[in-house]
Amino acid sequence: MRLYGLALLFLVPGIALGLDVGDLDLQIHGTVAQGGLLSSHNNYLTAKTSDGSTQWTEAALNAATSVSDNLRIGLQLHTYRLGELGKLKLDVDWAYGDYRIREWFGIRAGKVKTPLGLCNDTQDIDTLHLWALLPQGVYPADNRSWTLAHTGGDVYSKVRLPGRLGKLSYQGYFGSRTADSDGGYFKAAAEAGFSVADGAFGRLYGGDVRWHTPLRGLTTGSSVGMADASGHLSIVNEPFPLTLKSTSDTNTAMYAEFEQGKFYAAGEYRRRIWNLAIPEMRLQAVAQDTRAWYLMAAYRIHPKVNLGAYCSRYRYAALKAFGNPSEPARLYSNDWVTAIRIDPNPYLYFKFEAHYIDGTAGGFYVSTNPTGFDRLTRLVVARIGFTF
Amino acid sequence: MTHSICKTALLGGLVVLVCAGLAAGSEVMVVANSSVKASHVDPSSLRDIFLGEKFSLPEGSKVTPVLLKNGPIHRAFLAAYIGKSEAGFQAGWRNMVFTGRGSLLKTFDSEEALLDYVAKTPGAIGYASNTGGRANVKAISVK
Repeated sequence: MRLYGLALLFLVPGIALGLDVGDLDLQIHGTVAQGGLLSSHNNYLTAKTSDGSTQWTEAALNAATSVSDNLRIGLQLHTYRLGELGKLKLDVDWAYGDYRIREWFGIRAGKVKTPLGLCNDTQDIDTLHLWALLPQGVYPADNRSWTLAHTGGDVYSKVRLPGRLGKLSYQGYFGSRTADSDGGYFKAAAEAGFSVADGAFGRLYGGDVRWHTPLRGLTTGSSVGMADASGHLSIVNEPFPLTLKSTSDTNTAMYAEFEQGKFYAAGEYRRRIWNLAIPEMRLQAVAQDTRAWYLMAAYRIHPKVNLGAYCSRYRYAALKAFGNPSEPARLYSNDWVTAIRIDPNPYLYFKFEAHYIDGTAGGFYVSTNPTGFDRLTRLVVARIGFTF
Repeated sequence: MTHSICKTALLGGLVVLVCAGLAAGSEVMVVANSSVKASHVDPSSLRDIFLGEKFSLPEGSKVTPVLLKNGPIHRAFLAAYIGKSEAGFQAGWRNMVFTGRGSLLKTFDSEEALLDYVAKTPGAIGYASNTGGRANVKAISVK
């Protein structure tokens, strides 16, 4: 299934497709992005970035149609490779039916992108963002499969508030999710001596509420997601089959964004409390409380050129784990970023980004940095993307 | 004397602002197929319709928004009624497409093509510099 994901995209005839199949107006869209990363000393996100790496490819292809005035169905396939992660396996990114019972109220069922903060549901679609790398403390590129989507049902609504108080939208969900065994969590677990062969599976529920304020372009909101999970575990020198069980996993986000004409600004705060246990050994394997935030701003200096900068911070407020890092720099990371995106035409874009990272808490793996870590990392990222 | 000059300058400034406002407002006109019952729409509903969040006008007419691909009328419409740059508007629709929440709107290269489509498509709503004299196209005021 690995390279087939990319190959499939090029089997689709034409570009900017809108097909009439009988009475159905079927739209097909896709995107492909290729990235390059070059860093000082530390290797980042499992790629050999200190030598310069182009092991960062991502593609998505979707088809959707409105079956009736109320019913819409669609599907998106997605594949990625980032360093040692992803391996270009083909995944269903989303596939669902969306039925609008009223104009202000509807339900979705299937595999649906999970709302969590501002960008969770779009973090794997590069073409939608100015940034080549979103703030990694909040949207880690190596670990996103765990929060990206759920299989289950959603209810959503958007209502106008009385007077001139703006609008309120909300989305509630319940379902299950699977963590990719080729993702970062299991690579980190393997480095600590745990092997989770088939990934992990669990239920989750949560919601997102957004207030579209009377000030045009200003939106603020909050999300919460609660989950459990379990997976089959093996440990070096331990002959018995074991279970890795998440006893609690709560993600909360608070955010605001403002967009007016050429100007965009956003900020988000995220907290995650996560506990993992091995019941057969009566052992708490991981207990962590992480906090992260970012502030970003962008200005479109030309219709085809967008400039921006952000700063983000990620830190462990509490951490108990096997293989606990002893260096203080492994417990936090601060990232200062400047970025430019150029869209010569609607089908092609380029991104260039410079990062100055202090700390090695997220995205820096022991196995890809065998000689140890520098506290500081300078990173340059370039990306080219095609979309239709 | 100074007081009089100030008053004249203020009055002149006000006249310039009013004229500029009228000129800006007259650049772009919301147009719809004559099957649409409404003669006016509030700015918030118009924005929701072109952002894919609503499918009908407050008086009940179901509408299908259509767009110009680019150009000064397109930019004037986005600036006046949507509050987004061309790229920001396009990014919002791409967001809908790649999360499965919407399909791209029909777009036209010229006002003539857009008006022809609006004239023959019940429920179609778009924008242009004028109605182009089409029999089935009506102007919708925004207030």
